Amino acid sequence: MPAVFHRVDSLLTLIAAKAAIQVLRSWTGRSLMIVLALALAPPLFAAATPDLEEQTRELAAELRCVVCQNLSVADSPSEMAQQMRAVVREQLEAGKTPEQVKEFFVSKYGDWVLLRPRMTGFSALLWVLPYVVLILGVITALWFIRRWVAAKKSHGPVAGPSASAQMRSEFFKENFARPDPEDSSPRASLLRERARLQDELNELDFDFQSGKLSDSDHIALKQEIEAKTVAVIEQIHALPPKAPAKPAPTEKSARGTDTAAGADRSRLRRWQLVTGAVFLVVFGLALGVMLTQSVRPRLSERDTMTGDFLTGTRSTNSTVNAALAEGKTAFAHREFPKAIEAFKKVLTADPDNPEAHSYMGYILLQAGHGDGALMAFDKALSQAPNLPMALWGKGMVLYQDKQDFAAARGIFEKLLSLVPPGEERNEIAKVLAEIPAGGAQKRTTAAPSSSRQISGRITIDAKLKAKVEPDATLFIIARPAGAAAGPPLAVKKVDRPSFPLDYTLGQDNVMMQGTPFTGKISVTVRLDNDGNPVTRGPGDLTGDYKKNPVEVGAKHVDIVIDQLTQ
Amino acid sequence: MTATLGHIAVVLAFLAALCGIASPVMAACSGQARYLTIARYAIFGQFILVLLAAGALIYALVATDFSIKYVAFNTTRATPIYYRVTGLWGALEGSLLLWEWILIIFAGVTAWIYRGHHKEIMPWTLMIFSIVSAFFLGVIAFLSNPFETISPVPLDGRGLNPLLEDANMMTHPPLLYAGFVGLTVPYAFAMAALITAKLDEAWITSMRRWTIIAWFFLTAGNLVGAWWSYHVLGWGGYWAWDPVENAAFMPWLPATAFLHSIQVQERRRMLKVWNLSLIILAFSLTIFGTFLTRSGIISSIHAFSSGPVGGFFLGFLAFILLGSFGLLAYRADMLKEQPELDSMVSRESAFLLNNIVLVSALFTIFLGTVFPLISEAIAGVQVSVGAPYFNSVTVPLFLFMVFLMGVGPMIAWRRASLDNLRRNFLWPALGSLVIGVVLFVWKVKEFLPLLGFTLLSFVVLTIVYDTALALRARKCIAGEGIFRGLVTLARRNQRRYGGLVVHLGVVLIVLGIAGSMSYSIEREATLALNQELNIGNYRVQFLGLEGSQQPTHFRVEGTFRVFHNGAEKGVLNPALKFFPTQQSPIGRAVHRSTLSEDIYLILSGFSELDRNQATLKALVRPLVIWMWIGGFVIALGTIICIWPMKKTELAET
Amino acid sequence: MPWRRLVITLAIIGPILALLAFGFTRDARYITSPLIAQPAAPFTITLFDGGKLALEDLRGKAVFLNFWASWCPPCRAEARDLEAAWRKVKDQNMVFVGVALQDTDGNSMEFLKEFDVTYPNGKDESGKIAVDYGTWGIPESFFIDPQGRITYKHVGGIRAALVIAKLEEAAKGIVSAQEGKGDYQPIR
Repeated sequence: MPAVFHRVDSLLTLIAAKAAIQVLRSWTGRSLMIVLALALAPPLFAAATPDLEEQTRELAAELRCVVCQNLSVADSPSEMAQQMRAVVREQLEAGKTPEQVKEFFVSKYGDWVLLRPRMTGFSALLWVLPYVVLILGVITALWFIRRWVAAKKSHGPVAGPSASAQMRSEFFKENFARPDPEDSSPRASLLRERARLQDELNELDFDFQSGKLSDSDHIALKQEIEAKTVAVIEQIHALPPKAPAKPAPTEKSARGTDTAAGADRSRLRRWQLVTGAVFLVVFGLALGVMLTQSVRPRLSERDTMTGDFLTGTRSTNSTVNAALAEGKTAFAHREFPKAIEAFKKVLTADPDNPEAHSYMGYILLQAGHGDGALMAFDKALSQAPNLPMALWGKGMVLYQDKQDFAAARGIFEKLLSLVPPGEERNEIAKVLAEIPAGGAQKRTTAAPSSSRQISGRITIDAKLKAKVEPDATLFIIARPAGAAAGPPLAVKKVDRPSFPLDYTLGQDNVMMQGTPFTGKISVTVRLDNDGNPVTRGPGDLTGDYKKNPVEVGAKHVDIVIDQLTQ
Repeated sequence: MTATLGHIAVVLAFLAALCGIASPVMAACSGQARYLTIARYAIFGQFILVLLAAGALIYALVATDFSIKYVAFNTTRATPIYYRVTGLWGALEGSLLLWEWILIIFAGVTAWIYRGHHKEIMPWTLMIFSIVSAFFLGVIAFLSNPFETISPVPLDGRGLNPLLEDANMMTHPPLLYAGFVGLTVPYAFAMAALITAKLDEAWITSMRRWTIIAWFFLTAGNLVGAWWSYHVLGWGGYWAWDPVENAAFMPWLPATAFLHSIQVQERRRMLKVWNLSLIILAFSLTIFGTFLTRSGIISSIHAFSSGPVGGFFLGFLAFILLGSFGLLAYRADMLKEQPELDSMVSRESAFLLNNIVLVSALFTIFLGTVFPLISEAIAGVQVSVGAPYFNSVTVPLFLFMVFLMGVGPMIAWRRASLDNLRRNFLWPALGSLVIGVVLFVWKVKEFLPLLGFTLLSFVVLTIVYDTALALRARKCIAGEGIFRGLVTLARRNQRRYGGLVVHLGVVLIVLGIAGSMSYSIEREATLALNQELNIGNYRVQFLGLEGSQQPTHFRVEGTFRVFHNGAEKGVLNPALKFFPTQQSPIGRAVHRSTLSEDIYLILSGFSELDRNQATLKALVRPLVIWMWIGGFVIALGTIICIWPMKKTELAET
Repeated sequence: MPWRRLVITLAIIGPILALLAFGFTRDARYITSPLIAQPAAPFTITLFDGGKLALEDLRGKAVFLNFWASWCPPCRAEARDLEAAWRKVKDQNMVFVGVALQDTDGNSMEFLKEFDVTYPNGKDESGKIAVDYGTWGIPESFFIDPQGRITYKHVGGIRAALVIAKLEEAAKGIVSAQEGKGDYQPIR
């Protein structure tokens, strides 16, 4: 494929080519290729008869796409929909009727795949109910309307006005202000009624002018409304003369000559002050408490000051985080049983936690369970495909344990691309360079390469020759350079040594299976009397390699036993 | 810091909401008026605190503070700043905060405007606001917290869902949420009136105006959503009958019904229980909609990732439904009415029919949306209810609605004389029949589109005829010419003419839907370089592909030249966008619109090996542009309706 | 107290709420398969290491059919389990067959090498096998009895123990009552 893009016709091709290469490399490039595969694979659409296309499309519009949400197979851009369309076309071409094709899909996906529900069975309700409701609704409405019209008729015509025509016209000229909507006094409601009747009259006139009413209707209705208006006005006049209008007291407009109102107001204002003060105090307290609790020193440059309190961590989250932290510290101290327990706790709460899986992988690796470690790293990577720690672990497993160099290289290269430049990156690059070129090798039990061991000679100082116990055990101990305490990197035990002793200390002497025997180490030797390497009783003889630390691979690491433990 | 601040603000707002709930109750129990002011201060307090919280989250988004989980999951460093802001409502937690923010803005405005009025019901209105606000704040504060922190702090975020990286993201959700939240206002008034048993006229005016505003936002939000779907998403359609889309549309139906039947209540003082039910229903449907989107019980392309909040939304929905309808049932006796009508042929009857049809449509859509659940629960069978069903069943209902839209304005209130009716309807009916015949002869041979177009022309003709008659009346009375007459008519009968303009807008939308549903053509082909595809009156020539790296994705664009009836009309560039986080590429379709039809191009696929091959899907959709024009006409009509006018004695309210 | 009205209100609202609550008890995206106890659709695949494999040839043995893809994390998580299970039942009258969906040859083979898969794996060329088996998520596993009937379907990652248990059931011809579910993701 690269050859295609080496054709340099124009700048545009080059640019497009570069972009395309980038795309190809990336994950999206693969989806592009899939689109390609499916765009080219089916026969050219233009070749099919339009009738078939129409039919396919119509049928596809009735089928539901199984991966998209609520799109039809015709509208959906997804791959599965294209495949389904191809199946539809094929079956139509083979002569099946649309019904048969639909039944085929129903036999595979159930009734769910039909966008138009069946008209038989339970779904028949769906087709019938809307019309039933509509018809029932219309019938009910008509029934009510008839009842209301009958009610009107039974109430009889409104009585003719009692006042004379002249008084009536005066009534109409009388100017009534529209009352305040708040006012609920009887006078106000009568005024509102009068206003409403006036509006009705206007509307009536308008309708008549627009030609919607016949003359007879117009006159009849107008008389009715006028009669009602007169009745209302008479009622208004019949009311006791109203007290001088007191506007509804608002909080702002009540200007106090009224001492009661004034006292009320001052009480109100006090209440407002108290409420405001309470709010302020609560706000301040809350702010103070929560801020101090949640602010913490930055742990790193990328960290922020705001913490976990109140801002989102719930109990499950915090136990997970706590257990995770516990496991990490235990792992750092090489307290593996404790670490395993902590990570198991994490995994019960959060079964997919990639960090926990990665750490478990490392622990399994230390214990020599390469397969288990690989499974754990894979689980971690299935959740977080770019987690550097899991990638590193998996790489190491493939490299060290499975000796699958090609795969390991791939993983390390990926890791290299993810990690920013720095110390870690150099480390990865170093390991990457170390991997021998070539394909995967079967796991051999051949002798480890000479670069992974040290060799030398152990002798006993003349002064201490007499102190050697006959059944003492010799321990050759290699520790990582600079690590004075903690378990050693490699230990070799020799029973009943005879001196001078030529020894080699290599990969198969490492304490934790899988730990690479590389780098700088410091070598010591102990002639232990009780055979227990942990205890150092008096009478034990020890010796250090004088030129510690030494690089693994060195030869002539000669040690003289010249110290006596008191 | 930002996270702590935001979260504290939300918690305190929640406490304020609790105060706002408690205070009217305490006032009622103790009889002391001072508690009532606490309700208002509680609202203002929530307003400030929620503003603070929203500001904190926006700040965190803009500053790419990845220590906050929400920011890390919804933006990257490369996301442009305006998409970072829209990230506020890009995912579940933020969208709840947006809802709450808009709610408290509406509540605050209501509290401020009515601070001196409606003294007896305002505290209870504010209490209802506080109840809804307390629920959302509680969910935000304790269940799905947008201010949750993440540790260790990632270097870069995951980024917004690529489908949401679009300009419409800035308009569609806020408009739609404003529509939903706007329905809370009439609901609060209705509930307050029921609680205090103050069921007389005063609150109706307030409710009506707020409902119009909410209805407008709802319409606009749905239309912008349809536009987004059509313009950007690249499947050539504008409405998929997706459950969440249905849930956004369902509150619109009772709101529209309410806007009509409230006129009957104003004039005849009947249908009070019915109107209250409509408002409660509309509000409950908005809560149902938000429940459906966030609970994951029905699979939808719009659904947010379901968290634990679904159960709480269901609980709240239960509380609202049972509480509101229970209270209504309890107080129904107090809504004294003596319903009577003058005649069976009157505008009142037409409005009643209108309500029946709208509620039937609501029932149909609701049934279709939840039917998969019903079928699984009762029959144990998994079914899907998709677009073919909804299209089949709702079309007759909506055609009936269109017919009523034509009939309604022509009938008089109270009593319409039959011979006047005959006269008024004769001309529009004849005219529409003539148009129908012409259409049939020309092109439209199928029954449903023909019926649809005929009815639409009927409505337009009735509106024109009605206005012409009124103008003639104005000329007779005041000697005004056409334009002067129109202005006076609009001024004097604001609601009526605003309503007629809105009807015109609806007609245009239905025109667009009818055209595109009935006469769309679709063709797909794999084209080599310079090869052409024929579709309808168009020829589309493939000119080449080009790949380019964009900040957030890799883009492959195809160049196509379009010919219409032989004449070159320009070049279109549909594209495929490859996002690193997406499994399949996201299509970016383009279309060229004219008044009569759109040509719509989708790049379905291409060959990687051979840059000279592409798979193109072309659609011709007639009359789609009228949908968007209709939207603007509706906006104009709404403005006419609610434009504040001086109330003279002779004008209608 | 207008009891009747309140009861009617409750009677209408209650069932709706119950229905919505019922919605929580199932997975909205899950498609129940009608294929259990149906005969398994025949297919022929070209194996990755050459040769062809037809399902009819495996009549008389219990078959474990697994649909997977290299880009699917749950498939990766279950791969070693499947291989381990295969090694355990190799010498019994059971066969494992893997079919790669929506994948490229290179990636599929890398996947097989990575997890050291030894049972026969092939590719679904056109997607027809996926449709024949009503596949909508991966990984999906089918258990087919010696007479060619599907006894069990498991959508999502499956553990070795369950594989062996269900294979034994399949060998005896026992049809499971329900499908199984693990960690899955939808196919593309």
